[in-house]
Amino acid sequence: VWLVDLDRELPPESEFAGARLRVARQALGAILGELTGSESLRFEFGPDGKPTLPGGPHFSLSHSDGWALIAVCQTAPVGVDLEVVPSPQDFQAAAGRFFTADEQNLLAGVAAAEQAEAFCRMWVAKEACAKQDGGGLRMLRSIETSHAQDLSVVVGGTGQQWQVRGWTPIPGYCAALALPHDSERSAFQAELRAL
Amino acid sequence: MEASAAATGHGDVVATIRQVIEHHGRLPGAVSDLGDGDDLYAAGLTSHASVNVMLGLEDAFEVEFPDAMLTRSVFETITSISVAVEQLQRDAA
Repeated sequence: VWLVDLDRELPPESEFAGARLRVARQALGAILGELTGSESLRFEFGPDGKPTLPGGPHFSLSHSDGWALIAVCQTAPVGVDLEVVPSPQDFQAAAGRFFTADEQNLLAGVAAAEQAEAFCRMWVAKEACAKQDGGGLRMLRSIETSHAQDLSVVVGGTGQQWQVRGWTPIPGYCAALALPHDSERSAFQAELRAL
Repeated sequence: MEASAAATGHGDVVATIRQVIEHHGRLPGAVSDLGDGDDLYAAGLTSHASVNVMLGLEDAFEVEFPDAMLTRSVFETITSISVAVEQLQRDAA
């Protein structure tokens, strides 16, 4: 997993947000190019827009404000998500709509001052699973994190399961990495690198 | 919510969508600088912010986005959002 400081890589006077995304995509291309030894990468896109590289490796990209995370896995499709911890007014409605009843109960049991970060940890876990699957946001309501111990196993409404690891890559942000439940544990020997 | 639920014409719909994105999209730049066909994700829209935009659109237009419409392509541009909103308005009529 690579952590990319997008603003450090920005060319001066560049158009801000679009340039950040270009930097993130350039970093992804550089990493995949190095791993595959190919100078020309040809991506394919799933029905919900998930990009894949025929012949591998599997990868996932997430960006939030000035940071990006890039996850690469040789053995299984991977999903990664990075979000800045939201302000209280920015998560209540999303939790009400996309969290299961058990997840909402879990969140309600957290001290008020810690709810935004708790929401963020659960949100990135759900979204990393959805990105691993390729189903995108429409899957969020069916992904259940509340019974997971340390968010280590997350269950979808269809019985689908994932292994998830959550962490704080930088203060004020939450991140999660998801792999299929049956992945070998060695696939989770993730190494965080700064790019 | 400052957006009007009475927005029915295409111009009103687009203007309301712009207000919702301004309020909920957490974009680093002004929405007025974006064209209707510009990529909102390239402009800094995150997936979590796109969900808040969707919830704001539901309030503003009194519609509900079904899960099947929660795709990246629907929230990619102001134009694609307007197509989805107008479809939901027709379905609700």
